[in-house]
Amino acid sequence: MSVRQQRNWFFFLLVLPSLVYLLLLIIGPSFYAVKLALTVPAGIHAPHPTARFPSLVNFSHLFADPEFWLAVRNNLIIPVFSVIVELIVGLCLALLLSQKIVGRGVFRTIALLPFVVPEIVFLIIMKSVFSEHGYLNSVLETSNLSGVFWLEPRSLLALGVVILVDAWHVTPIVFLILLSALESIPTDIYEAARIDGTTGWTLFWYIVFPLLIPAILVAVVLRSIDAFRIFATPLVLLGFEGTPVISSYAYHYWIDYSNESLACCATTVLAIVILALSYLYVKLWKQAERIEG
Amino acid sequence: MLRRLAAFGLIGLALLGSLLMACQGQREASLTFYLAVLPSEKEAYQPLLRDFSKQTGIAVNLVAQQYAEIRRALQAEVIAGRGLADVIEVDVYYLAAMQSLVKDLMPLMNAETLTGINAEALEAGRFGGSLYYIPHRLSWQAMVYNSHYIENPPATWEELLDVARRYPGRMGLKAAQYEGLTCDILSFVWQAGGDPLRMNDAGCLAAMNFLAAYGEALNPSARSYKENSVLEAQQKEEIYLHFNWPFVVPLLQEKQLLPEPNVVAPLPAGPKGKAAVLGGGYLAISTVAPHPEEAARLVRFLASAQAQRFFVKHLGWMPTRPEAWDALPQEMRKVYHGFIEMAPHVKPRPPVEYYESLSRLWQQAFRDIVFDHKPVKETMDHYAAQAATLRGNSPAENVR
Repeated sequence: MSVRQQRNWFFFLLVLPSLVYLLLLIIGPSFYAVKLALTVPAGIHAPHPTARFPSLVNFSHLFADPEFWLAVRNNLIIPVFSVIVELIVGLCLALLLSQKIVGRGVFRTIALLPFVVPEIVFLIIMKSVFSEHGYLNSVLETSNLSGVFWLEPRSLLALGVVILVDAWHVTPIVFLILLSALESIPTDIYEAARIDGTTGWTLFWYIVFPLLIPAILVAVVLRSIDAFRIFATPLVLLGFEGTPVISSYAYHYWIDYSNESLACCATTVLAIVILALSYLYVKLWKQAERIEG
Repeated sequence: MLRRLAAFGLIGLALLGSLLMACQGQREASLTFYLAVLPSEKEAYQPLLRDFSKQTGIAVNLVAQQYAEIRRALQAEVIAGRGLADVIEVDVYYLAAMQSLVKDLMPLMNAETLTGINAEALEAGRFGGSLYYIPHRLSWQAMVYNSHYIENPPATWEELLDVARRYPGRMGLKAAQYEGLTCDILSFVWQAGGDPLRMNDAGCLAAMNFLAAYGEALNPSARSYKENSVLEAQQKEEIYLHFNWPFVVPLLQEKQLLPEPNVVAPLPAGPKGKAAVLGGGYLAISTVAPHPEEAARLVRFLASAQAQRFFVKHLGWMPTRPEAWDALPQEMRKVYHGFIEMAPHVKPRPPVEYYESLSRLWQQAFRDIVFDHKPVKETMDHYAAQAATLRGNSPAENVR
């Protein structure tokens, strides 16, 4: 065996555990889910000998269900607005905490807290904040203001709360990405800009922001793909009925109706959307690199 | 000499091995029991199984699962043609749907086992003349109300509507799209004398008309309420009244919210009297059970008065044998009063193969009427037509 072959084998062995993991726990179950989505159990009496495969009947049921379209709508609105909020807040935090201010380390730690706390704990705290007799309404009532029904199912306000809570939880990731990008900008550039008399907004807009664009792109790509998989936030805050999204719709069919086929159908649609989105991002990325190059 | 010694030694070892294997073969089987219990309930349940093992020499491995998971596991085992489960607990809701996965228990049970079990509950386990399920524990709903706001529990629909009008937005109902909603609706349908299979007879219409009026006072979050969330809302005083299962009693007691301010009372009576939906768990033996004979012994044991008294005393479960109520301590009788009063009015859900689809129709009808304010008669006629189609497509042999 040549040295080159030996090296290839070595690399293959290094990759093997990840490949096995991907095949057994991601790719295999994904194909099984697609198979279930394309299978129609013949009756309630499962296992039934005449289950039909392949069939698109589940998809036609799915597309005929208004609840599914509501879930699709929410699944588009929540990630878009959530990522926008995360970017704005994350950028502001990064700009603020990259300055040499007293207690910067403490503030940075505080900014990271929402992400450090386990998701379910964070969401239960948020539910206590926004519920009818929650902390926020207590504050309003002690200030002689009337309480607000923040989590009224299907209301726009509840949708806004879901966006806010989701953004709040993951803004620290965006903050970290942008902070590291800000800190990697050479100080010479700032000094040169200052000598030229550029400060404040002009400095940010014409010098800092263009240098941050690659980091912003990374944050947008990472977060928007992740944001489309939203599940726990609307489910914990409002239950399935409150603000359905595609994954909670699938969960509802799985857990409440034991209908694996329809659940897998919904998740297949979600997977296709995410795959398409990822492909689009990769394309855009390559195009951006080519232009830069 | 050495060779002879070695040969004797080998023969001796072989004999010892065969003896050990023979003893192993004579040992009683170890049963696997899939049971839908909470971790705390599993702990409380184990001593009963230890008693069974002591009496019979049969070990039992208790696997705590949710009902839906038990159903999936059993389906997988039956498809595979072999499995682990001997005895399973099935939600009353799945009885018709899982009938093809479990054994006919009639040849395995004796008259002594069946005598004394609540007749309605036992009947729910029978399909096409065969007995597929033995009731394990029963459950039905009662009304939980906050006595700080509601002095006397409403005993009739009229009184319930009065309370609802007095406290708009403070009434609870498990109105999320799931089986719990159907359980809430069916109580009203039966209280009005309706037939859930028809959906648009006079009783069904009366029930839906009442729910349309009552729905005006529901908390806006009711749309997403399930058993736990509606209880949480009651605890936080976001609602003052709702209907729920007996599991709420220990949870409210733990938080010192029962017997004060929350109280459990019977469900209000409708024009045709009281009614509640039968819930609970039923015991069955998998068609691919590795040890069916021993499994039948366990089922007989769990259906016995001894086991039922244990459930009442240690788990707060409703017994399948009325005689087992005597195990409930006197002070607890007051707390469970609402549930005990409802016992004679409990009815099983329609035992039809298409029940799951029918249940969804009821859920959709309720939501159309209560949340989307659609007219009652037209909506129920629309869904009744769909129910008739389901009935027409259903194989007759699956109907009891």
